[in-house]
Amino acid sequence: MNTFAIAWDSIWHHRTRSFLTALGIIIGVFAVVTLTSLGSGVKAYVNQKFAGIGANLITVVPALPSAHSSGHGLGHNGGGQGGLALSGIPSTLSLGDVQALDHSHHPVLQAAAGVITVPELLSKGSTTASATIMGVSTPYFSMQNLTAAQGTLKGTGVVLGHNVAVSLFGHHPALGQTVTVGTTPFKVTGVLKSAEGAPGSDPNDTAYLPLAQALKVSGQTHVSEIILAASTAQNVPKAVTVARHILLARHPSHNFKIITSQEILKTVTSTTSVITDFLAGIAAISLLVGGIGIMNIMLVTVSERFREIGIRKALGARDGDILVQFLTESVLLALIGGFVGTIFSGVATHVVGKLVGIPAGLTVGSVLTAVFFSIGVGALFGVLPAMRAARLMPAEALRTE
Amino acid sequence: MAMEKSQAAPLIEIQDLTRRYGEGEATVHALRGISLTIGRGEMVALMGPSGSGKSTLMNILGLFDRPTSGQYRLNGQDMTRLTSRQQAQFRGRRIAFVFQGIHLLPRLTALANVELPMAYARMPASVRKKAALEALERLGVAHLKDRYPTEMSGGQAQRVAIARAIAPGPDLLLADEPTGALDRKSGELVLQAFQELHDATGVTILLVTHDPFVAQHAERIIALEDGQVIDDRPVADRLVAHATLRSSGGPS
Ligand SMILES: Nc1ncnc2c1ncn2[C@@H]1O[C@H](COP(=O)(O)OP(=O)(O)O)[C@@H](O)[C@H]1O
Ligand SMILES: [Mg+2]
Repeated sequence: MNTFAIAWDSIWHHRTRSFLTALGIIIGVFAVVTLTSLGSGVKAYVNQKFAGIGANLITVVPALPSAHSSGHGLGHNGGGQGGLALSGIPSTLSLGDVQALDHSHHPVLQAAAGVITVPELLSKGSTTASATIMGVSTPYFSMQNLTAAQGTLKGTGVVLGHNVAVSLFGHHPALGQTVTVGTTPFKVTGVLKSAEGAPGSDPNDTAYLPLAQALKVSGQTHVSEIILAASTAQNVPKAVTVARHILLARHPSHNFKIITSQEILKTVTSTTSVITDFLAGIAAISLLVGGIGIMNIMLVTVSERFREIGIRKALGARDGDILVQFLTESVLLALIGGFVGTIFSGVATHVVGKLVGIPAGLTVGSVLTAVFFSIGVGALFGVLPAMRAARLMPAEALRTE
Repeated sequence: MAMEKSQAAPLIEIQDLTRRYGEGEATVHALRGISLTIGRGEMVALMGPSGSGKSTLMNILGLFDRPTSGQYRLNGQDMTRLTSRQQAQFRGRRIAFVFQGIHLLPRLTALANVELPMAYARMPASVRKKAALEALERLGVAHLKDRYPTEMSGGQAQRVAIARAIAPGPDLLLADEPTGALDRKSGELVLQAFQELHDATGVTILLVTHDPFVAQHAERIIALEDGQVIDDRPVADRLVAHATLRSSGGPS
């Protein structure tokens, strides 16, 4: 009978007790693995979204003069009012800047689109749609992979997102109808296909005006941000250089900031990582509690098996043999807990992923984490009881009869 | 033949051996300075009233316990200075022990029990199986090799335990009231087994017993009282019963 068989025999012999002990580990491993799996699911989701739209996109946002490190202006449908960007800095980016960038004729800089948010309501007669209204230049649509279901995206009227069109016109065609932005009437010249947006924005719930019209309607003189498309994702750094050069000529005080999608992605990913690691750390505390449960039960096991330990030592077992025997038992117990916890976690992660709509499931990393933690906890908390067993003198161990 | 063995080089030499338990008021002097020499191949009975220190002495000789003071040499080697790893190498292999209770591991078969000391000694599986089967054969319990301890009688189990003790070929066989838990008839068969072993292999045996009749099977009787040797003498006419017992009540 080898060490493993002895350990299994003992665990099986006290199965209720073993199960309750393993439960602590099951819960701990479940928590840690579920959180890390969901975390990497979110990361994968974000990556996928950013890869879908615009790994080649660059955003220019207003900044304080030559402030290279002021706040980031994430997203481009935020509530920048009256030319205020998200950071709250008055925008000095103009339609002229957009045109200068768009007509740069530089091969790495494909297109430029100005973006503003129009703080007005969209309505048809007495019906008001819950839509965000944005002013964008035409290249914006192709940058965001938005295509027309009806009409054109290059018209002079308003382009409605899929949900907006449905909420205002139901199944009737929206094209050619008139809607009101604030008090100004606009013809519907295009309707978007249903689309997925980048995290935090939903084109389906947005209505788009041509940039010049939007500036007029909202009385703004500056754009909130300018989005640039580099020819390829690889050319982003070159495009940034070109854009900075063009803009510096127009804004010598350097009151703008250039952010690449890759930088935004990095920020989002690292934020997600920090949050995930933090939560996993908290979950690890429950593993610790599970480990203490193992230590407790192993101490009981050792004192119940004094006689067996005494006999084994009387027959020539070394301290190390006994130590290994009891350590094997505690590690095996923890591994069983880890295994069950991982399975539960696999199910939970899958279900949550489905519900939330992120591609979450067990990853090799999370399973390795579970195995590593289980072995670690079993060994760490098994060592004290095992040493106590190993150090017994046979006379002492055999006296308890 | 017995005289020859007594005069051979001593296997055990102990000098002024003491063992105290506890501290202060509650101190128990289990051994109060014992000096003894036991020759290689002797069969010695250790007698004395309950609490006289017999088990304490056996535990120290078996390296189950350490003396408070005094000398213990086995084969001329100082046993009081061994590390716990070195002690483990003596236990079960060079010094074997048969206990009062039946100390077989309940979840192992007879064969696995007998192999265990040799397994701890890291002997190859084939060697230990052969030695284990031989020892079971010698004790007349080879047919029980695949049984678990709960499937045997007390006498059978104790003979398996003796097989376990002698299988590695120890220099010294210690038995602390090995018949204490057995009925008279099983006890006699067990004693007879010791005697046969001694005659056949010449292994040194130290046997604790309360029973004067049992003691007569030995070549020498040492009597303890209150942690001291009060008598030590050869047995005048040793009972040599095995020849007759073998034919009448031997194991089937
Ligand atoms: N571990 C121990 N702790 C305290 N006292 C002990 C211990 N072991 C034995 N004793 C005491 O030592 C004395 C001798 O015991 P023991 O050697 O078992 O005697 P015997 O085997 O001759 O009956 C007794 O008084 C006993 O109570
Ligand atoms: Mg005793």
